[in-house]
Amino acid sequence: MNLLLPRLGVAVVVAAILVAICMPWIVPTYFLTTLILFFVWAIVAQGWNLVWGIAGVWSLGQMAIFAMAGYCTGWVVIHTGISTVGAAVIGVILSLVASVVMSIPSIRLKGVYVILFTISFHELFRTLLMTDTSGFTGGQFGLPSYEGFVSKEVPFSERTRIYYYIAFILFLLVTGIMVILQKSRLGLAFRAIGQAPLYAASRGISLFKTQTLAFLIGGLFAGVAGSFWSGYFGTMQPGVLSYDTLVLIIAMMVIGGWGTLLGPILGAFLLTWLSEALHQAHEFRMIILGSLVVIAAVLFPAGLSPQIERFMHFVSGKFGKNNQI
Amino acid sequence: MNTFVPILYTGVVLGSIFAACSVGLALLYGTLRFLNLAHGGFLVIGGYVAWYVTSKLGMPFSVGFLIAGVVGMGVGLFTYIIILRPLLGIGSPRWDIATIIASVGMAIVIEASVLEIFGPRLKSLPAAVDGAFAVGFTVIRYNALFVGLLAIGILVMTNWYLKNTKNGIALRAVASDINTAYLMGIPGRKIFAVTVAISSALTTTAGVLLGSFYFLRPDSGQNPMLTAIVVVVFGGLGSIRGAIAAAYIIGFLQATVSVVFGVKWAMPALFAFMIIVLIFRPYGLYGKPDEARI
Amino acid sequence: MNDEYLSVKEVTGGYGDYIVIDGVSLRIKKRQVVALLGPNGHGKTTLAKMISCLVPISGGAITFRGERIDGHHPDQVVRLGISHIPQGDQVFTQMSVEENLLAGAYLRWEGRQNRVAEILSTFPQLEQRKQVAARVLSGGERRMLALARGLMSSPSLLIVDEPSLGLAPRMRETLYDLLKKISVTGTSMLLIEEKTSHLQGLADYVYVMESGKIVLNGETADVLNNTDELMKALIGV
Repeated sequence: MNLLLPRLGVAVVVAAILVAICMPWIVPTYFLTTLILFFVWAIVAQGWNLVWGIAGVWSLGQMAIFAMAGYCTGWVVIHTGISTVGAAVIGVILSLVASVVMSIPSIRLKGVYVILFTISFHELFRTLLMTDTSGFTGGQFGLPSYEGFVSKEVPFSERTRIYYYIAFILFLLVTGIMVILQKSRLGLAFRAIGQAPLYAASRGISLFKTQTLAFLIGGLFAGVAGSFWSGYFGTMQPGVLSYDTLVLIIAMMVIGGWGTLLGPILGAFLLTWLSEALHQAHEFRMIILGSLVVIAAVLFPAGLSPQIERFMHFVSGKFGKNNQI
Repeated sequence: MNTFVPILYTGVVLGSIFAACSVGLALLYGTLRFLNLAHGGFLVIGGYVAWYVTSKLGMPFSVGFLIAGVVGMGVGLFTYIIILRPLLGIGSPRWDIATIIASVGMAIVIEASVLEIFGPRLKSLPAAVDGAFAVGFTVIRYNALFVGLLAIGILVMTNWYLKNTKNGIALRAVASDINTAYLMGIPGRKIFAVTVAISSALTTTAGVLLGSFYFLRPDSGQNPMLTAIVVVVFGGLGSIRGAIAAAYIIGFLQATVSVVFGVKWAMPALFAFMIIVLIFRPYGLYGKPDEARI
Repeated sequence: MNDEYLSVKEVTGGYGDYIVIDGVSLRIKKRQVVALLGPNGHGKTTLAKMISCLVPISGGAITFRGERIDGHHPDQVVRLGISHIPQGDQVFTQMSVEENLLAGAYLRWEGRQNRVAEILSTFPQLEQRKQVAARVLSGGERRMLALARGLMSSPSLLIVDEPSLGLAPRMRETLYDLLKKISVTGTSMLLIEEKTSHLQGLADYVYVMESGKIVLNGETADVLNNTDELMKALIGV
């Protein structure tokens, strides 16, 4: 499962990081905004991958946590004097609380029921938002605009550059955590409860603790992404809880592949670009995305990354053969 | 009296419509273990087809109703061929996930296509029956009663089908225990296709009923689908009887919340209810505990 | 050859890598009642499932009335005239007794009402409980229902796995009388049994299976009277 271990892979990763650091000076600002979106979705997708793909918990609650963190961040800035960064921290803390609330009843529920349970939270939050006319959350129109992490007085291209680096660092942190988890005992425990829960329990792995931890970490990632999103745009809208957004994230997982390290990142990358590229196509954008999800789910139940891994092994096998000569 | 009559009226009509909307979903889950998240899409297709036939082609309601059913069957069989049949034999839990996710994709394709074809403006189906009468302060529309009766009619017909026809009995056998059903000579794949066809037709015709009650929008299938999901879960996933009982209970619940607290609280109340059900009795009214809990 | 109904030739197979049946051969002639004896867990049920194609075979051939049937889908096998009534009391719990029988009549839908009446006359206890939901029935009644349901398709070959398992003594007698009646009508039968108690007068031929292999076979009288060999096969004495 480890694509990053072969030396060929490490070189590629280092090169990618260097390129990413230099990006703001190479590409136009519009490009950077798309990359920022990619980083955010990559964080969400990795969190979701941990819960669903690795730990085997069919939770659809990521976006609800994302939205809660984002709304919390914005609301705190608007209604109290706390800085955006401080508000973001509060948002992340809220996301952890929400994760725990969602995880506890889910422990006893089987597969499909976890989907239903987490979707109920998602929809409860969404419907409350959409019908809120009290001004507390801004209802359909979202929170009023507020000062994000970087003051709006800073010119747009420089602001975007700063946001780009923040997003990039968050992405590296999250990916770094996933890499560490992959090799750690906890990561092993996650995989165990995902693939053979009864066996794991018989070996002393606490289903309760492990599943709650998976929810917490996944929720942490979603909360970080959501708080960043809120501070970046300086607002928060119920649109993040729409079916369209959910399908986008699902597409990332289905096409990228779950259960692997690379899968969600690959999926986020492909889908962010596809989604942006199709923006002009209006309705066909969603028709194409939806069809992709259907095709991917039916033809590649495990996603693309296992296919890519097989290809990489094939390729490095060829190199190996050459070396032997 | 002022709250009782509207609650009774709304509860009965809503309950009947919810029941008609949910039976298709219950059938699909019971027989194929397929939680169809494109259910809302089917409801919407029914509504728009009926709208097109009645408003654009000028045909009577009954024709629109029937054509919606036929179109539904077609879309259902298409779904069977491209999503369900290729995945048969893949085994749970991969079947569960793959079918649900594929249905989500399909839901989006349907919604976007409807938006593309019909545009975003609200549409409404012409009433099948005009007129109303008053009981106290409550206005009772004949069309609403008609729709409610039609919903009950659909339920009765479905029940008859399941009890008296060869495929109806076979379908229930497959839902109960598929391996034993094979031993009766019941052909699994054919029954799956039949179930999908019937469930789809049921759902699109229920969509016509919905369209007579509410405005039509490309996404107007979402809330009814979510309601249907709550109904089916509360009834016990896969149980038809449960779905019908649950539909009326939830219909009355929604009616009470709407009348007492205001319509905007109906959907949040529904999800709060679902959360409570999933915490305390996830297997619902007619399900078995080990179906839902580990 | 002409009156040979079921032919199991050198069949091998199991579950994945786990071989359960190893080179088993068995024959059932038309109108014959054959018993398959042996201790539990030695493959008898698996062999039955192989004949009805619930479990695939990895070697050998199974033929019915001259036609190869291994590799078919289970419902196709029923269509050819084989009815397998598995161990236990699997009934469609949410359906009534009558509906269970109707499910069994799927292949003979026309004339089902007559068939239901006919079957119920053979199973009077079920006649009384006709409209009752199957989940309310006692274990013994469910066993009866499973048997009655398996007969609805008027099979040429009936495979019954442990017919009397879990039944009270009186019910057991009734059940074996019923099986005798059925055999008299000309239906071939494969009876899978652990005990030999009711085989005299019912079974024409006996195979004894141990560890997935046939270790003894012959006419009923010969096998049952040959106590030494039988004991050795069944208990390993």
